[in-house]
Amino acid sequence: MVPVHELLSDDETDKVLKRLKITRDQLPKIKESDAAIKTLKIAMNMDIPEKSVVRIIRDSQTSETAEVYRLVIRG
Amino acid sequence: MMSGVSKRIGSIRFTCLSPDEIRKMSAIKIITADTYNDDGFPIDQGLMDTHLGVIEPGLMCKTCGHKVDECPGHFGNIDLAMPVIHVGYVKEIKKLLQATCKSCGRLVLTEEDVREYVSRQETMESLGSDAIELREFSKETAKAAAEKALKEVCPHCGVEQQKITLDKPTTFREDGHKLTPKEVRERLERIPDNDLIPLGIDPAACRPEWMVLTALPVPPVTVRPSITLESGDRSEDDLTHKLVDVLRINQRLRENRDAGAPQLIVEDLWELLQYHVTTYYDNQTSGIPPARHRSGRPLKTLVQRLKGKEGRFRSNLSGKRVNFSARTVVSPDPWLSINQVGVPTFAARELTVPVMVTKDNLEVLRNMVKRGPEPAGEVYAPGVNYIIRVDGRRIRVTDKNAETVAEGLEIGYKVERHLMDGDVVLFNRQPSLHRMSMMAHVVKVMPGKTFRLNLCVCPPYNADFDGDEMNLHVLQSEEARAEAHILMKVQEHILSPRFGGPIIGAIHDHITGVFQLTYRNPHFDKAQTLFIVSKMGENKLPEPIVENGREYWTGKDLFSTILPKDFNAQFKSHICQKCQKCEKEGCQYDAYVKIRDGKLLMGTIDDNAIGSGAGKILDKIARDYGADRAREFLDDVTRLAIGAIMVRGFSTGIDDEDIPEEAKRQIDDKINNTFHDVDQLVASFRDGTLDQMPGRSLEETLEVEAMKKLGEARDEAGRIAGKHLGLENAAVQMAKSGARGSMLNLSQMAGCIGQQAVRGERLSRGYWNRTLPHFQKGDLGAQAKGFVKNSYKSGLTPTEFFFHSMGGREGLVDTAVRTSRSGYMQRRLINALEDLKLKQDGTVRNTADSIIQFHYGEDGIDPTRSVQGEAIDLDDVLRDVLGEHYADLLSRADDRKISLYATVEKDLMEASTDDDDDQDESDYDGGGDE
Repeated sequence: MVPVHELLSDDETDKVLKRLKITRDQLPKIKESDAAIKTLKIAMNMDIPEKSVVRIIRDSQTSETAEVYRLVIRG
Repeated sequence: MMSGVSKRIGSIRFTCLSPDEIRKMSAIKIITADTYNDDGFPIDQGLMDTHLGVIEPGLMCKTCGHKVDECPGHFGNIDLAMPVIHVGYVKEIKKLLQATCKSCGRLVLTEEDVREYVSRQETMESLGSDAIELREFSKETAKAAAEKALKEVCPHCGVEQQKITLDKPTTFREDGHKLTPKEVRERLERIPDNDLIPLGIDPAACRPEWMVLTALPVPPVTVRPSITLESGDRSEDDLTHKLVDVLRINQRLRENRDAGAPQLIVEDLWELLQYHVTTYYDNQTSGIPPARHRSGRPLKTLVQRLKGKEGRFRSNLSGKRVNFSARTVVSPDPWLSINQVGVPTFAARELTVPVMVTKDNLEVLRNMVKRGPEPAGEVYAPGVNYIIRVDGRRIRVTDKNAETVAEGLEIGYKVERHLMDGDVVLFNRQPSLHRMSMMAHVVKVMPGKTFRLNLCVCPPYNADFDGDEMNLHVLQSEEARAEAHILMKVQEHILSPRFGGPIIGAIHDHITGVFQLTYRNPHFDKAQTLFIVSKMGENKLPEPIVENGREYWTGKDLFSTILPKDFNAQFKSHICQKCQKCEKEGCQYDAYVKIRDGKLLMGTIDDNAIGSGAGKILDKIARDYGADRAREFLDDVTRLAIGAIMVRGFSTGIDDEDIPEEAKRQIDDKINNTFHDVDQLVASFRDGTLDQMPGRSLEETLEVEAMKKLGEARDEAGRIAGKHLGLENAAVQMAKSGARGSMLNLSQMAGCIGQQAVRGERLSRGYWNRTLPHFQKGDLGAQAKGFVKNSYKSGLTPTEFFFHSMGGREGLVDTAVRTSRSGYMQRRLINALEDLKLKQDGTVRNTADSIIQFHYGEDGIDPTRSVQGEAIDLDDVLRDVLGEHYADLLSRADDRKISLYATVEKDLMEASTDDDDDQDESDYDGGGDE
């Protein structure tokens, strides 16, 4: 049910931002307190700092899967 | 004419005004509450002082020296004797008072905490948080400080804090003891600039003490004009009335204070001043009675002017009234193209298009001007209402001066000529719920007083001709015309982005007509054929078929003449019986349509082929051949259909629902049997032998069973009636071809109306334990609970009629509730989505350039340019590349839900070896849905 969330490394993040030709602040946000981020934290056994970018791969009605990115913010 | 940009707005900042600023921008200090003297002239330093601008002709503004309409108006000010709180800022003031120390004014947080909060604020800003999020955060900071203040002493000066409460609307209390606005202001003054930043206030722009007013700006008279009644009496604006009140009390307060009046009196007056200033800003503040006009009507003060649907924003800024527009009743005209709109001459003479005079059109325009504003003559010819000279002066063209004005016409002038055939206009019907509610049409000036439109554009506008009115806007610039022409023309909207199918298409008689033309391929003799074909414009008559020396044409051949020459398609008609196994080419009902190379080989053309909302042929032409060809096809097909229906004639009446006596008896028997069954159900319910359904109570079980039985009875009655209503019946033709009505409608007219329901249950309310006094209390039988045995044709009994009204009423209420609710939802949705834009890189972004969707619709496909949501129509491509035979095999493989490419390949190989086999035909229907 919960789509795949994965933390991007700094290199990957830069690549994604470069590809989209945007800066971090233009990404959609996800709160640290979001259940998906909490679970990811436990699964990775590490802290997910603010400003990190998460890739979400979810099923889509129109294309088979859709890749989206979220910027982790405090809250 | 077009003036250049004299000043460009770089940014806008909203802050509060400081008392200094209020005084600095003030043209004059207002001291008297009077407005006009006995002679009707404004009193100096009164509320209507001419320093504030002028509203009467003849007077001159003492500030700028301009006259009415030239002077923009200027602010004045009132010096308040004692400070009062601004209602708009009470929440903010409360926050500040609670978060800061009562003695030193510092934020009750340690230096580290403050640093922490400020740095959080900065990261939020750098990560693209918007103003709302930042405001929320500073609220949190204030809350943290306020909580700390109640528990601990001030970390800066060690003073203990008291609890500050707000007594609505404007009284602050500290531990129950009242704080005067003066004290509040003193506290706010003490807050240092640096402590404001974490609270979300920019000290450079706004100091908190400014939220307590010491001076009040007086708006220019142009903002609050007084009106002179016919009787000669002056009637002042609500704002002026309120300002008079403020001034009066202010004056009294000052006098009393200066005279050393008792504290109590001064305080009372102070509070009264607070009341007046509060209502001057917002006359709907909760907790205080609204200020009223002498007549008892509440005054409309500043907030009321701006807020809500009738407020400045929604009513004057988001929704402006416009010139060059017209509104009238609409009526149909099948001979117009879908792109056209018929405009009555009367409207065309009022609506104008500006044309720049050049050397090429000088003579043409000169002739037009010569005709003047009311050209005579049988044939409509555009005249001219105004010309605009190079210096921007407008000259009205009249019958008298037309000749001279025409002679004086020069290059560079602008001529406002009447609307004429071929002009592009926007046409609209409210409610404008989707983009097809406003489309560009090409004008055709016609006699009469209504706007005329082609019937095919009724569905997108949701228009009918029972008195609907529509709006028309004339485009005024070349850019606008070009944009409308390319993007907004009706033909560009044949395919709806809502469901990716045609929303503009044939309706009603068009469908019936084309059904009669093609069903079972009728023959037409020469006269009939010529009659039909004559309805269309250019058309090549196909070669006749000669049989026994007589020549005739078939309906399918005639239809084929309007298809593109290389058009291929196959699908099921609306009349399809939905057989267990589709015989496809062998369909005995002529319901399988197959078109090859622009020839209709078999099948009936009906709603599924050309209808609005379903038309497969229309859909395919619009996609594969473009909007121009689709428009041409639609215009042709509707005219062809009208020709066809006129050859035979078509009419329906109540006798279309006649069924033989025998059938009536059968229906009666069936229904009576069912009544008996229901009675038995009721009996078994009473004596407890009814088997309870899992998850339902005994009563519910009975209801479900009874509903099921009665539903079956209605269906059976419909089936019996339907048996006697064949396709030669006009009503059935309409229902089966999808033109209008359904078989259910017909069976309700001929057979039996059936069970009436409210909230999906049999009727039960009304009297105590029964629906109507005609029945026994507790009667659970069919007829006592709303079953209507009669048909619309046979007529309802009084009780049945009553039941039917109950069911009908629910429908009405539902629609009323639905429209209001969905209207509100639509408004919210549009407000949220209006600034989103699809960018070149396929992302959807808002105006801040933040990403909303990484890939439009997640697949980047425009529904109006896709085939049922896919980027390409694979079956079609395969058919083109592999040829008919293999494509069929492929689609058949697809039918068997074989998705692996290898298996398909294997199948293909196998199939090609054992040559032809026609078992298990595929369900392929030209990329259609069902």
